[in-house]
This record gives sequence, C-alpha cells and structure tokens, in this order.
Amino acid sequence: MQKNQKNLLIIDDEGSITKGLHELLNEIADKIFIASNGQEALDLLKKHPIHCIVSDIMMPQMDGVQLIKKVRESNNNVPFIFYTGIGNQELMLEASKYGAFDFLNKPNLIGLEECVARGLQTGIGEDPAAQANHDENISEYKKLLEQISKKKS
Amino acid sequence: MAEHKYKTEVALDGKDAQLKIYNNQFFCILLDLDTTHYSALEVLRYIRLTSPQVKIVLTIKDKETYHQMGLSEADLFRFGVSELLIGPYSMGQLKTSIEGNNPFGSWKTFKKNDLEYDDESEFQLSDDKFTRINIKEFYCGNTAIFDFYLRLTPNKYLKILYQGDSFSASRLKHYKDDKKVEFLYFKTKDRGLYINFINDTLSKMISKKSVPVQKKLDLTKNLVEKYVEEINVSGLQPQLLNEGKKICNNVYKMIQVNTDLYKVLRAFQEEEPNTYPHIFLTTIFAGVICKNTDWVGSSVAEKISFACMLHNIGLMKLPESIRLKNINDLNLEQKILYKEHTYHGVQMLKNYREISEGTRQIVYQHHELINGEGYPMGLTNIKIYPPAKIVALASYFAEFIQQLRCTPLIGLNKFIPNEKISGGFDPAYIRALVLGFTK
Repeated sequence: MQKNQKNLLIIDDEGSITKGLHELLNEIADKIFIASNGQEALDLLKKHPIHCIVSDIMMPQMDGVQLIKKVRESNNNVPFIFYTGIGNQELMLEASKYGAFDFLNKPNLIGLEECVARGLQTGIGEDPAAQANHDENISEYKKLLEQISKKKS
Repeated sequence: MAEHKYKTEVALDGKDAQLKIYNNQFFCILLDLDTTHYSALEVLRYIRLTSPQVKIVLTIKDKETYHQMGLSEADLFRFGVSELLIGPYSMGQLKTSIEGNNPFGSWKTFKKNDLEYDDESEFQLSDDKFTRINIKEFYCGNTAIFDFYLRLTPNKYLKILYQGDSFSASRLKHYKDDKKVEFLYFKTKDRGLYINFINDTLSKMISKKSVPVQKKLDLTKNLVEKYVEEINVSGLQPQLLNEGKKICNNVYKMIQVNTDLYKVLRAFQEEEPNTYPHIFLTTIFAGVICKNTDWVGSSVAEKISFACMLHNIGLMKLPESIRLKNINDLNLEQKILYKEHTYHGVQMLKNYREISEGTRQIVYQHHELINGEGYPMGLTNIKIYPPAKIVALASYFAEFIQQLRCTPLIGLNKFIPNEKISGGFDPAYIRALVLGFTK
C-alpha cells in the first residue's frame, strides 16, 4: 500500500446507492471499500486502515449509531460522515454524541465531495487545522492583536 | 417556455438528458415520469448525485401513472423530486412550480402612483399591528412598497407615505431633522415584503464599491432584526426559510467582496454600545471566521450563517423570565432549563426540508466547548462538529462584547489573555476571528 493512500469506506444496504457514491467519489479517494451492513464494515475496519467513512444512518440490524459507538469503543476516531432522510433525525442527534464529522441530507448530499475530501485529510492526519500547534496559534494571534492596536493608536 | 422568457434546453430521452445535464448548469429541470431510454428515476438519481442543488419538477400524466409503478408521492420526494406537477396543468401552475409561490415578492408588481400626494391621514390603530424601523436605517428605494406611518400617541398613527408613492428624500429629512422623528412604522403584515425587498436590494448593492460598507451592514442588521421578529411571530414558514437563505448568501458575499470590512468591524459599537443585536453580530463574526478558514467553502459558510440566524430559536420555548435574562443571572434550576434551549431548537427545526442536518447539528452543539465544559453533551474538541465550533465562538464573543459594552477590538484584548474563557474555543478559529480585524 502506498504511503498516504486515502482509503474510504462506504456503508449502505442499498446497492444502487453504494454504486452511485463509488462513481462519485472515485477520484477523491485512492481506494474505496464497500460494506452493505455494520458488521461487514467492522470486519473491513479490522483488516484495512480506513481514513474516512460515509454511511447511511438508518440500516437494518446495526444502525449508524450502533456502528459509530462500536468503532469509538475500539479507540478508532476515523471521521464519520452520516447521511439521512427526513424522519431519522433523532438517530443523527444520537450519532453526534460519538463525534460525527459531518451530517448530510438524502437525497441531495450537497457538499459530499468537499466533505469526504476533508474527512480523508483529517483521517490521514493531514488536516492543517488539526495539526496546528495551539500554543503557536495563540502567540500568533496575540501578535496580530498587538499590531492592530498599534496601527489604531 | 421561450415565450415566457425562459432559456431552455430540450432532451428527447433520458440518455440525452443526462448528457445535457453533464454539459450545462440548470436552475430547474422539468422531467417527465414517462421518460424512456434511461427512465425518469435513473435520470433523477443521476441529477441528485451530480447536480444536487438543481430544482427538479417531475411532470406526471396522472396519479395512476406512478401508482401503477408502485410509487407514492412520498417516494418521489424521497428520490429527490422538488415539485410534483400532475396533469393536466396550466402554464401558471408550471411557473409556480418552477419559481415557487412568492407573496413576499409581490412588491415587485406594485404600480407607481402617477400623482404625488403629500397628505397625511390619522388612524386609530392598535400598536401591536405595527413594526417600527429606525428612520436613520430606513431604506425604501424610489417607490414606497407599502404604507408608512408615524406614531403620534399610543394606538394613534399618521400615514405619511402611501403604497406606490414616490419616495421623497427631502420629506424624510424633514421628519428626521425638523420634526425629530426617530422611528417610522409599517404594518406588521407587510414585514415579509420588507424582508424580501431589503434582501433583493442588498444583493444588488453588495458588490457596489460606491455604497459604503457601513450602509450595507446597517441594512443587513435591519434585515436580520426584522427576520428574527417575523420568525418569532409567524414561525418557520418555508418562504421565510428561503428568505433566511438569501440573507446568508448576502452576508457571505458581503464578507467575501468588501475588503475594507475590517475597518467597520473595528469600530462596531464604538459610538453606541449594543447597537447591534446578538444574532447579527454572531452571523457577521462567524462569517469572518469562515472567510479566514481554509476548509470552509461557500456551501459550508452558508450552512453556518443560516445556523447563526437560528441558533437561539429554542429560547422561544422558554418562559420570558428565563429567556430574557443573562445566563449568569439565573439560579441553578433556571440555568438547567436555559441549557435545554439547544435541544428545543433542534426539535423545532425537525422535518423542514429547507433546513439541512448540518444546520440542525450546529444549533444543537453551539454551546459545546473544546475543553468539554460546554453543553448539551459536554463533547471534547475532536468530537464537536467543526462548524458548530465556529458558531460557538462567534456567539460567545458577540455576547462577550455586548455584556462589556465594548468594541470587538477591546473585547478581543480581554478575551484572548483570559485562558479560562478562550481555552474553550479552537485556537485556529480565534486566530481566524482576529484576522478579520486586520487588513
């Protein structure tokens, strides 16, 4: 496997959706894994490094909340992007407890590509916002503030 | 369609349609359910994956057609249809499906009065039927879009401008300077028209360098105030939600386009503390953070901006004795109730197709702090939805300077060194906020 290869996992019990998402996200991720249910997803997560997950929240047997809970229990903070239709919004609130990366609406999935690209970056540890040294940031904005105050006076 | 000034492309089958959608950008797609050579449902799926924002009007011969396919109306909406048009339908119905029914936009068809009137008539009308607007912030273009009044005494009004009258700047100046009038009044039922009118005006003036940024901001502030008032009275009507999205779009463009905005931001509240309402300040500060944050694109920025406008909507569910007070002035029991406003908010926004799940989550998480001391869930940094961190900072900082009755610059100088407070927020976003005050 190449260094910094970005692996994406798509989970949905509807084959037509995973197929469509695969086509759409093919150029953003280096490798895409498909799972049709939560258990398959957990198995794939054990076997492969996954840097971002795109998942339906409502699935038979194991829904998105149960899945993210299990993933977090294994100390895996992989970014989860959930999508939902109207009517499953309570599940989205539940999912947020476990730190979901983003939430999108079916059927439009507006902003999905942008969101997956950033999710993969975060998952692989290249997210500039996540990497920034907080102390450096604080001293930088203190300096900025001093500059503004000086200019003003 | 061409006769009605629409620019159209025609596709004769589903395959041709997909090709045209691939090569062009459309505002709206009229798709017939009987489409062949790639069915309508296949084309629908293709559109939703490739052009998610486009409006899709699905035309259907009659209800039997989709019932025979084993589909319900709900299924079609679930597949991504924006509007259903079941035959036979008129041109008017088709146009309404394409453009939406927009009574707020009815001011556009008002005719200008040929004669100029300067008569003033007194009316005995209840105060609760009126909305006021500061005369300094008043803007009505060349023609009055509805009647305007002065308030003489409680429940007594003087009509000074009739709908369709030419707007006379000198007359307004006379009221402002000679008669020392502070507020103009219009009927609350016209507030939707006003919101639509100002939204339209703003979108036209936002990129114009000849219009001072301060004027654009004042108009936006006024618009946001009236918008919130209207939501509080009328609730979350779909049309009002669309106006909210237009406001967000205007705010986004204003922050992106006006490079000298920082000068005005520095002077916020300099002359008069607490001039600006909390929601307006939150929306502007969040917009500034978005502009200075690399990963935030226009769709995320608009989602954030919309959440800013709605972030405190859950407070409406709380009694006035709690909602109108500062949280620090509440007792323990009241504080617990107050903190439920995020949950009330997210529940109120449920089941609105116009409100994205992301916006709802921001409303739910806008009091979460990265040190885990926030609410409702006490999430820590990595678990907080990133756009919610931006709104949390913007909202906190707006409240902070309002309480101190100071300018944002003075506020930042107090906020940043206080690590007990600023430690609750992502330093990257604090930095992005500070950058908003630099050239």
